[in-house]
Amino acid sequence: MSSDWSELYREIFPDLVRFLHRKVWDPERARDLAQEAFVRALQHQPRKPRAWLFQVASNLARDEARTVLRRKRHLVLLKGDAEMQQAEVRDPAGEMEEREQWKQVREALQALGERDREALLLWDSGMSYPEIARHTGLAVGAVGTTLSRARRRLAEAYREGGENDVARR
Amino acid sequence: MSHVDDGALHAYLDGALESFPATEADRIRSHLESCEACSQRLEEERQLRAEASTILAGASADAGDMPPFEELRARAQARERTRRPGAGRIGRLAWAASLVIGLGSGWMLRGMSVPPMAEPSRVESLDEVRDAAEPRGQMETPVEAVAEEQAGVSVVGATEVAAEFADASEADRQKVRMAEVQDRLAENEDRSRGAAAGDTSATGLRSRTEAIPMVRTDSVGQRVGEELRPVASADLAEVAQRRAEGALRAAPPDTVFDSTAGLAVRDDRVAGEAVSPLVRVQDPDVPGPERFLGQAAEEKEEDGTLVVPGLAVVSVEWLEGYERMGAVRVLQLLESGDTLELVHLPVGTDPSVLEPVSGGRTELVAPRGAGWLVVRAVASREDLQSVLERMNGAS
Repeated sequence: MSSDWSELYREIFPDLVRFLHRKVWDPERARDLAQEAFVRALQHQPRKPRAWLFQVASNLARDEARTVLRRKRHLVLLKGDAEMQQAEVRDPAGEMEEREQWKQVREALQALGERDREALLLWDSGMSYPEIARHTGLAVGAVGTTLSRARRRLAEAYREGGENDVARR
Repeated sequence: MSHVDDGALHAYLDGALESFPATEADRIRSHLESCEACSQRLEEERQLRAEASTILAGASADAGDMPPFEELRARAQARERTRRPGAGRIGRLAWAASLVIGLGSGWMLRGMSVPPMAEPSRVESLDEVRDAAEPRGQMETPVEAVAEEQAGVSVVGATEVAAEFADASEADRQKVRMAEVQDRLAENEDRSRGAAAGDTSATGLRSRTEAIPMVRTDSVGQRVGEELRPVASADLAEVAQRRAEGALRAAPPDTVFDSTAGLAVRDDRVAGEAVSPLVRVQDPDVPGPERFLGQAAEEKEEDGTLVVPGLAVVSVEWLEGYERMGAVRVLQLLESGDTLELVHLPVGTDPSVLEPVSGGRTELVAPRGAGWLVVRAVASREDLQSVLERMNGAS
């Protein structure tokens, strides 16, 4: 069982980090939450680890967002400032560009309905249609339609964002 | 033959036609081979799909230096070790009892002319709590003592909780927990007595609240007449097992209960120790929570549940701004792991106090006594309906 979990960890952890990053927009935090999800999974030994992990990750991200909104806004800002300062030491230009890119993607994602966004991020993290359906409450037959709509809206919003940026410059 | 819709095109591109019925999948494949218009649309959707993937790839975070798997396993094992044998079950039962007591005291106070929320006890350290607990004597039947002596609350299942508390293996931590509950109840009572002093129509909290038996009735105990009878220990084990299984599915997060509402509901349980408290309020004569928890005014005995039995409770809090009216928000974890939001809105509450339902969540609103129960979750209407039925079935 241990070796199975070790294998699952190597296989799923990167997907989980990617999924979480697009929810918390903080790579370090995304890794922390992914680790937390795995620690819980190791405690619980769920029968469907992949679906379970993404569900827990989703909940963790949501709890994180609530907490941030309610109580820790200033701390996050301070943390963000600190990271920005560190980033400047590492590679200021590259870091700024990357964060600008994230911002653009983030804004485009925010143009989607929450369920559409969730479905898209789950798909991009390697979840199957039935898994997405279970996670979001959609019928399996509706996942394709949801993804189609989400992709279209994402592309449109991203293009609009890019045009606005060009216009501002 | 009808054309293929966008959803099916994306399912085709995603290699997900297997999730369609076989005949439908075959129809889509053969249609795409023969229909030029759909083939063209397929290419357009293929480009759109690639574009979306590229956009998302621009916001990827790499996994970084993954900590060794052994490190995570050690963390999981360390957590397991902190849950000493039996602690989980005791914790669950103790927590359930504290929830009932906390809700009871909070709701009783709600009916008074003072804010229902007494300030949470100011405790600077656990030692203070422990010290404060000492004069109260031994922990013979702590839950019953709190319930019956201080708030007129009787708790079915308290016998089991008390028995487990009597187990020497569960010591200071549980004492601290119960001492906190006792302190808060005592504090609430003191405040209410003070408030009632100027009210000639009220004779004080005790006399009023004694008429409100709060009965916790899940399968850990049964009420027979005026007696509390514990169920067989085998049944208790079954309950614990069932809850543990539910918790595995539900994957509740580590939860520190927010006691800002002064409900004396607090816990430091770890993930998986889910409880399913069922709170019932019985008394048609005394104004209080039964006004909106009750099922029918003409019923001699009004019942109502605050929570869905069998689901882990994440938090219980007064709805901000509506504490006096008794608007309560309960968050529970569905078996799917998603969060279920239950809001009990008494008459007079402005529904706009609730944020609009969003994020793919479904909302059901059902009459509940003299008010409404709002149920929200990322789930189908049928699922929410079944949640309501579970609540009704428990009442």
